[in-house]
Amino acid sequence: MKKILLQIFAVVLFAALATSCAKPPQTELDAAKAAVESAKAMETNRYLADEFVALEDSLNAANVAIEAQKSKMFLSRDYKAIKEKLTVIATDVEALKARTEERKAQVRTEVQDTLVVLVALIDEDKALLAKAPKGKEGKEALEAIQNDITVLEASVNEINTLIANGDYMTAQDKTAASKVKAEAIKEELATAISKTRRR
Amino acid sequence: MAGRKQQKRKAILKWTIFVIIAIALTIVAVSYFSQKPPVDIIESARKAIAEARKAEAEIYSKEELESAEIKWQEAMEEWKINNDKNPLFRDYETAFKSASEAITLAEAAKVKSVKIKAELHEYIQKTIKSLRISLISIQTVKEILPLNHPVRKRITPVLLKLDEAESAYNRDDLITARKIIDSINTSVEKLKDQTADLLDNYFKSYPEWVRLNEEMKQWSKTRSAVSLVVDKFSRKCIVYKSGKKIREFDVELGINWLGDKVQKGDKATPEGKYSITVKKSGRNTIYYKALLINFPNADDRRRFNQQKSAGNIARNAHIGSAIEIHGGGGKGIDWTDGCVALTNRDMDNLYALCSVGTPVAIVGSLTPLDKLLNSTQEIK
Repeated sequence: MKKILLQIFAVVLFAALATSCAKPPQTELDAAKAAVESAKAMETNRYLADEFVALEDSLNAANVAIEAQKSKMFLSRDYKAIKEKLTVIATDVEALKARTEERKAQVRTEVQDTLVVLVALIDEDKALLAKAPKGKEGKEALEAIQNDITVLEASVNEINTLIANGDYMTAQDKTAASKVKAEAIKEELATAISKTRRR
Repeated sequence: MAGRKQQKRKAILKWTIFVIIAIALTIVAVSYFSQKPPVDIIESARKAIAEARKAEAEIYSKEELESAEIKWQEAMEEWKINNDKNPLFRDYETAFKSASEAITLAEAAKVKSVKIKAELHEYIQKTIKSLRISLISIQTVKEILPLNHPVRKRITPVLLKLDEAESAYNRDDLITARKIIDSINTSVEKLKDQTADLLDNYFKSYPEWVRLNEEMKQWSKTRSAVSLVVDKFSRKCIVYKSGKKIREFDVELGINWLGDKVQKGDKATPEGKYSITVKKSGRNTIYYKALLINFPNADDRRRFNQQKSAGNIARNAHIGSAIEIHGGGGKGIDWTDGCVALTNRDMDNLYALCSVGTPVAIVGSLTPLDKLLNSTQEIK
């Protein structure tokens, strides 16, 4: 009987010692934090804002859980679930980063494609402008259109700068607006030219 | 020997039981006397901050959210510091206080963010609409303004910016949309004022134009003859006979047609009451057929001299001459140096109807300004 009690005591003491050695998952926490920071650096918070906010909140929740464990008696501390959660956060952040990269690439491609169309339209406008009726009847009208084309060319420069700076969304707004104007000029010039041909 | 061994074992057992009881009592005592950790309140603060961020407080209530986050961090730091202490000496009061403040701030940030976003949404929507209306009316005027008018040149960049603002608004980037709107608001107002002033000033002569039109109608009625009225705004040449409008032709004008002719070379079409002095055809004109009018008349000369005396025009300036109603038109734009151009076909008809002495009134518009703008907007 005494022997059994002694054994129980030894087991309890061993368990207590073993559990009291449980350490907070600092490595996993640092990795998750670094992952979230790197996601922010690549503008995940701009392209996939809701998902980013949710992940940042999960990280905060893990921090709270770690401190909650630390507040407990050393015998009852358990970081296993938190460790797993932090690993999941780091994995999710990587997935989110990949999706952000995809979304960015998609917007960038859209902007670049529209920009190609816009530049082509401006070239068409210029070509039509060269064909447009000259002489005193056309001079002032052509100057007015040339002024609009100059505005569009300045806009193309701004778009290129925005793309170079990685601000694809603002570039997208500018490209769409400029394209509409370039199309309107093309139509205006085509109408003017067809009128001259009819005469 | 056996008895001593048994005694020793008894002693160990006693000590073991004592140690176990002591540990258990210590645990109970520590649990009882140590302060409860601020888990719930810090967790509530975290959730409140997450809610505020979901409501885009980072954009619309940045200051409040940042304050809430700072307080939450303070609570966490305080908690961490105390967790490193002996359980009996832990004091979470400051952590509780900071967490509680974080909750209040985060809730305020959420409420403010929702409110500001809704207000901004409404403001941008309304402003885009109002700017669009202003620009449509400016564009309406722009289309009838002389081609080289500064309003025409200034409107394109503003229109582009407005489209960009609308695009940002549609993808819910209200801050960018507002920034663009604010950058063009003044320009649009300026353009609007310039256009309104320009037209108001021009249309001051409207009663005189209506009177001249009536005079032409009456003249044709009394004499059972033909009289002409050129309406510059609507680009029409109206033919009256015996008090009735019998024909109407499209016309093209001088490049700077808006306003009265001031001097030679200003490419403006004069306004006033004239009459046909010469009918030209064949080799006498390069514009197919032409009806020369008596510009400058006495009124034109008086105005010109007044302007010269006032120093508004150069001392060596000339009043100009040779204003005609001629052919060669149909180009779709205003292109003459001040004459009124018709297509050759229309010129044939008009030429046949007119004779030397036929009165011609050239007026700015026979339609009042408000009606003119409304009708053009309705079409759009």
